[in-house]
Amino acid sequence: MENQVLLEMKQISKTFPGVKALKNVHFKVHKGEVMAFMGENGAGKSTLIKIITGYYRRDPGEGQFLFDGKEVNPRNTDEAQKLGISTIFQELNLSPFLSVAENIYIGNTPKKHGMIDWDTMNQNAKKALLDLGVDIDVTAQLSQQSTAIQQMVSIARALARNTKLLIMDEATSSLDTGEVKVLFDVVKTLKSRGIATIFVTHKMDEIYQVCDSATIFKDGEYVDCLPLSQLPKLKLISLMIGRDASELVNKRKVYDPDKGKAEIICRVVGVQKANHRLNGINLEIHKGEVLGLSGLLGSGRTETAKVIFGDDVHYDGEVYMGQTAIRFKCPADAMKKGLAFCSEDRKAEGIFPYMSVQDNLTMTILSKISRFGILNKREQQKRTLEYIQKIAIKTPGPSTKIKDLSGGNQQKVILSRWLATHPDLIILDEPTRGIDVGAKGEIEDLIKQISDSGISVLYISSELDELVRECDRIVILHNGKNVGELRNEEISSDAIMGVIAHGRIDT
Amino acid sequence: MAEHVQKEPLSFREIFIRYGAVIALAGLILFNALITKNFLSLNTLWLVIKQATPILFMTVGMTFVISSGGIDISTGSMMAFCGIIVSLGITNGGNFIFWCIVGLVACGAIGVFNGWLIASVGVQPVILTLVMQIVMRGITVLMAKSSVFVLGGFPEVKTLGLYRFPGRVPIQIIFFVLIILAGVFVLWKTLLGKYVEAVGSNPKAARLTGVRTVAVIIGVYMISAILAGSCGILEMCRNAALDPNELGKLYELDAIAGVAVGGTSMKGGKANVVGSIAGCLIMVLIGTTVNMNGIPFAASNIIKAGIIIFALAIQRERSV
Ligand SMILES: Nc1ncnc2c1ncn2[C@@H]1O[C@H](COP(=O)(O)OP(=O)(O)OP(=O)(O)O)[C@@H](O)[C@H]1O
Ligand SMILES: [Mg+2]
Repeated sequence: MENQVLLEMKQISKTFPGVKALKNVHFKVHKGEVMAFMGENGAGKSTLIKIITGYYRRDPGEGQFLFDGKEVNPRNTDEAQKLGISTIFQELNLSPFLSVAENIYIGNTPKKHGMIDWDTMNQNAKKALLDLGVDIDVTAQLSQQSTAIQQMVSIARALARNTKLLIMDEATSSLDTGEVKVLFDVVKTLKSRGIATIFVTHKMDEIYQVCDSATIFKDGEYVDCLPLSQLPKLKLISLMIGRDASELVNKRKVYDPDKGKAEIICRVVGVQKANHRLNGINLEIHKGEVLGLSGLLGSGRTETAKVIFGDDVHYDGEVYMGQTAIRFKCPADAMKKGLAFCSEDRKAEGIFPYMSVQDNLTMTILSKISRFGILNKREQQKRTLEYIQKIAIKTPGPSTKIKDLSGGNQQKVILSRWLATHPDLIILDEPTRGIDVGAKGEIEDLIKQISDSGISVLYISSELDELVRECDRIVILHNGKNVGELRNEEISSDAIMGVIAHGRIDT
Repeated sequence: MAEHVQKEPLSFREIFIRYGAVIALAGLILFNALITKNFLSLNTLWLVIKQATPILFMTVGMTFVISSGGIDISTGSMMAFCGIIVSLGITNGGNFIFWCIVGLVACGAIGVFNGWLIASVGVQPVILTLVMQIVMRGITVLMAKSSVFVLGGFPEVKTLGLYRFPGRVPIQIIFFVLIILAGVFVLWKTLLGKYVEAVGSNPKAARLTGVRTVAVIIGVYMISAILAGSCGILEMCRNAALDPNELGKLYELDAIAGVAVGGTSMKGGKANVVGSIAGCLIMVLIGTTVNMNGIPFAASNIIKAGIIIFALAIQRERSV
């Protein structure tokens, strides 16, 4: 069974106005194989996936798309679904206000006498989720479930439709380590049933946990396809970025003990929320230091950030900027005091999809570079080009709509909009989500640069190595409370994990 | 990377959405030139401008509201409300300009109230402005004590409504040009224009990037109300009369249709003010065409409906 080819694509190209996103790429996936698509931001992974799932049509030409031994050409996602191809997107396309069971069987409901057979549907849904190791009330509204559970629901939905190929495009980027592990167990179960999976992620370690092989793309071209057993991490990264990667991997933080003694520019004292998402957060942020916030999903990291930035005004406790206690009414007030906050949720809280890269990048400084309320488009363009160059944003130009950029490049635009404000304190919530290894390195360098120039950084990340490489100090949260702190040489992944585990026992 | 500054070409569909209304307007004019007798004359142009100017004010206001992600269906009643204030003022011996200002300020205040309810309290724009449509009409009729005002005797009303410059150029041309310049300038060149689009595109992101979203939304409904009030004054002067029950009725639909046909996204986030202007002229011109060819008036509504559906069908987004 292992050797039977399930999907084969040959000479696939895709052109967007002004961009050749895919140039004659080809690859094969076997039944039961777990294949990783690897490549830098804008390499064409998502585009290829959208062609497989019928969302985009490939350029007409000699290319071939063989699925299960037959030549196919799905014209939309429904047709792909009927063939047995399902996708789990990062932004899930479920119906939040329907029940879990309805979401699994929507468009595919069991019927009795022409009416929906609710009992059968709910029983089947319960069983389908139990198969995936999830035990929840299937009649509850979907929106009440966590992202991880919602993802399981969309997998269950795919399986209810006789799926042969499951595609996950950055599906793990909003899950914590434990949830990722559960997801991978499911992928392994599916594998034993002969279901193939295509997996896209920028988290290197993940692919070594589940994938059998990796196909590597660069700038829309096929590079190589190798079993992971013959593909050590360093080689994989080198293939992705097209040059030697050793200098990227072997970086170490050099600590500057003076940073911990510098003046305190922001202090959070006993911040609590009535809904118990925060139960007494205390932070001191020194000038020029990188302070990491660690903890599991739901530990209160993002909530804390939103309190500091004035997005959430319903809290008890105090936030001090310098010596004075302050209560911002809205983010605009916080920005006036030199704060910046890059949200973790790019789609819901970051991009203006139909606006240009230029407008997206300069929205935070528009009022500063305008006079008498009149836009200064030349200045807007100048600033945009500056960041396009500085952190290598891949875009046809400043006037391209941001929705047409690859996910990672959108993220770079969002990050730039905050760097452009020249803040005193920048709060970064999962800033490298969806960003490729090379660019991660560049962004890490950039963060080091800005902190050396005296800007403080509050760094929230679920990726421990990132925290370890970047932070001068790490505060660990659990259930909305501080449970520990590590500084300078004390910092290591194991130490962080230790505190998290300990915090969990304590509470 | 040298190719950064290159301008990417537009796809056919994008061209159509962006300039579709202008193309359609040109088509409609061409069609009329061939079919309608006496169409190609300056008189027709002046007639269209005279008719279009008031509703153009409302359409520009509606472009702000819709691109901010809202909608304002109270504008027709707002016209009559402004009209009744001015009518009562001048029939009681007041100064015309003074009472126009009072009327517009009153409209603006109601617009601020609308915007505040929508932005701060979170009332749905459709529901709120529907309620306001009914309430404002009621207030207007009460204020008028249900009587129709004949205003032909007031020189300012006559001038503003019926004066023609030499060559039969109607006075409306001044306002026609002014509102186009103002609309294009604000939406293309100012901070406010960008903020409106940002709020319409992604309100949460707008707030987090330091846009004062509540203020923007209040501003947008205020602009809409003031422009609707101006529309009311102009229309009242053109008729030299005010019927509190009738003035402005269903005007909001023509304005919304003009915006939709013009290519401004109904979901917000994308303003196309040139399109709105063309869309508005299309709506007026359909009326003129029907009129000049002796087709029953009701037919013009059917044609308008067809055009709106076509415009919305082109704009639809591919769903994932
Ligand atoms: N709808 C579109 N219109 C124009 N260009 C597009 C469109 N979608 C993608 N592109 C371009 O195609 C290229 C490939 O993008 P794609 O999203 O496939 O990259 P990716 O490999 O998924 O990157 P990432 O890791 O950042 O998600 C990019 O240069 C992108 O700008
Ligand atoms: Mg992608």
